[in-house]
Amino acid sequence: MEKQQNELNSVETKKVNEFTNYDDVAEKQREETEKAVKIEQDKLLPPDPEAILEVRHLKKYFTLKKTLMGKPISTLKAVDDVSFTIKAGETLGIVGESGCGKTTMGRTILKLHQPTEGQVFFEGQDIAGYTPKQMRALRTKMQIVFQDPYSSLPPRSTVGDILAEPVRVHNIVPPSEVKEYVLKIMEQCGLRDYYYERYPHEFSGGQRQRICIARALAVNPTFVVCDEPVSALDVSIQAQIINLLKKIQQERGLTYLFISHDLSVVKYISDKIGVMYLGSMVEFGDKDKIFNNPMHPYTNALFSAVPNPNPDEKTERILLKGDIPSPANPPMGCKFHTRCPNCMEICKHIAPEYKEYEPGHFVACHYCDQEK
Amino acid sequence: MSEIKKSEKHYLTGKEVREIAKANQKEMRRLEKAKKRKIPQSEYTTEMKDEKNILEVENLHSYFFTDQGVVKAVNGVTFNIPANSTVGVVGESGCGKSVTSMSIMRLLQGPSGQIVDGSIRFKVSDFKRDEKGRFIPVYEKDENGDVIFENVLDSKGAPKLDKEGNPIVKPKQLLDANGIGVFEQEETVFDIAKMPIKEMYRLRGRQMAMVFQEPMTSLNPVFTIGNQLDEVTLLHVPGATNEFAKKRSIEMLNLVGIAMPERVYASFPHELSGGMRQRVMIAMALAGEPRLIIADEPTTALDVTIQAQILDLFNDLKNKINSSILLITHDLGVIAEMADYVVVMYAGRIIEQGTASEIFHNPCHPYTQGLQKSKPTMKSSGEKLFNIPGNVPNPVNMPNNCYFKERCSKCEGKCSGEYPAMVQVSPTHFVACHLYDNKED
Repeated sequence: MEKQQNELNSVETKKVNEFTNYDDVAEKQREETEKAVKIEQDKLLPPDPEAILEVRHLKKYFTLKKTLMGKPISTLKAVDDVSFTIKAGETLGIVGESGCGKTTMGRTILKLHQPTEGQVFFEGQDIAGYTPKQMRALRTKMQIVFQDPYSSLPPRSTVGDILAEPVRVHNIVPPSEVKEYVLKIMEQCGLRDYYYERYPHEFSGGQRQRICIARALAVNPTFVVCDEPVSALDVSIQAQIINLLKKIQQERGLTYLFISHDLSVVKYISDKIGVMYLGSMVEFGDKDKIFNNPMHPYTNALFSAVPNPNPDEKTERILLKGDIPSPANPPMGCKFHTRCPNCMEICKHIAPEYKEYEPGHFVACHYCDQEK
Repeated sequence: MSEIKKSEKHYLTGKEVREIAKANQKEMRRLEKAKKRKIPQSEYTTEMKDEKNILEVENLHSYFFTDQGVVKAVNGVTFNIPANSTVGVVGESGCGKSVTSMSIMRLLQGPSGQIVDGSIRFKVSDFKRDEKGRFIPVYEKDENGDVIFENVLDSKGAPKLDKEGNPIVKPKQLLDANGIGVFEQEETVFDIAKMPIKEMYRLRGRQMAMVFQEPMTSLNPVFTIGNQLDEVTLLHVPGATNEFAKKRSIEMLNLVGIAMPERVYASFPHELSGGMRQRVMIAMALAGEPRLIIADEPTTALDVTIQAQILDLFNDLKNKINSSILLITHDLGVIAEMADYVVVMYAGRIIEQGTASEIFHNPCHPYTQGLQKSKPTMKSSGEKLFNIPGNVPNPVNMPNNCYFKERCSKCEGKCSGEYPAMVQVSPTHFVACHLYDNKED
């Protein structure tokens, strides 16, 4: 019964393909060559002098299956051609569903994953090809706060040891002043001085996250990737951590890449927002532009899905059908077309171009093209 | 470190631990025994205080006997669930909301977790039983009201005969639309807290069902979805056949919005995504058509887009099968969208309860106010977030004053005194805070 239905379905799709003018194989080839040309052209451009971080056509593929000779036959495109810039002192918020590649992107920028392709300019230098040794010197400038404070602290070291280690390794201060320095950092992050000799298991989630933040700040970074720093915490503790992050940013002029799936938190903390779907950036721009005028249907749906804390106001929801498709086998054309409420025929075959619609507002969508 | 305060002792000596463990042993044994004893049904049958309610929880105390001391996870909780409505329980982790739901299901992990005191009255429509404990079937009747008799058939389909050659007859049982026999039912009220643990099998699944917090770990990885779903029907519908169970399971999968129910029916849990698994969990809870669905953080592990789908589903289903929902979450937004009544818990006690609009437009307790202000919303601007200082207090050895005292910004002298009583602000709105003591009269 099921088989029959499947066969029927496939016959139907074949019919549909016959009647449309799109030749999927040729289209894909054309797309790929165009993309390759664009990437080659962009490679020659000088880095943006204003930006602290510039990412160009960043790709990170994971190999799932190899042939006997080690040639990959199936890849998971976790991050697929993402470009953006962050200016110094700004916060870029990245939102998207789980599995859309936000975390992988954050880690690839820090070279915790080796990027498959693309350029990452940090303070004007392309670090994508740096060796681990070269990266080590840069680690004092770029740091990360991990998602789960319960598993990202070593259980056998005291808080003092955890915080002193990066200071000692990178020679931030002379060895005799390390303890004093660590206590100063702890005070900044709202940790009492007598926590110095305690172990991580003695703390609650919020305190642990403060330790993680203190550890990242101990080496005086200028750029910090915050990978869902508050999603494992309680509501009242979330506010404490967000306020702490903001306070530190003002004091030190830090630049954040803030990854979260909680839209209200991202809206609160960010200056710019990037919306990711299945490894690609679908919309990018200033916070006000994105929130006041969301253009991509996915952004619209994402915003409307946030529960409204006012019981009398019923928001009109755009319900997305189904789940996020597997990134190992993304749909043809626009990756979002399987769930898109405004899906058109062209979306099923041709991937939309990532274009600038108004200054500083990038969208990749055919529907927005037509609207214009 | 000289700065370390000696008074801030954060450990127990071995001797102290042993003493606590000994005292706990005694108490735990007594409660475990009480759980397993056999008592007649009349002892745990009671009456509802208000006929409109489907569940009444009164002065519930659930404790955990640990070696660090007794953790009063639920400490005197009282609330009602009216029929066909959604009650939301909000609070931070560790405030006892999950333990409350586990107590209602009697699923607390023994022997350390025990219901110590209180009553949980639950209205059930249970099968009537004769004196031997068998279900009483409903018989088909003709126009005159007489019972119709039919022949008893043997395995070959021929009528069975008695010694004298007359066919053996039996009264014909009434069948429903699916060909499943109907049994007599009656409405009774049970006090779940006093029920022997074995009798709970009668209630779980058919009368009340639970959607657990983590869909990733709550499904059995070695059985197919269909196998696990069928089990519910086979257990709780007397006389159900395998075919009927499968039909029902697929119906339920359809109901929760799964696109290809036949395929999901035959697949294993690891083949499904998080949202799908949560739907399966919901389908499983609905398969017994329970009167009360307890949803313990059903959307916490999911993305916003999937969360919106699941919440819509709950709202639809509530009307479709006419049941009540106890929704447990820490997300105030979810509560606002879903709940008719809201219960706010803090450190094992209810600090505020009322209708959803009362709690959201006129929050009285400083904790509720703080919770609302501390969450950035889509409409809030960039000013500094309000934060509640400090952490949830240690649940062992709570003092007998307001538990929120240390973190409260409106604390007065009175707060060091006894734990505040529930004050009525409006007919449906109650708050436990000394700030409102004078408004009672």
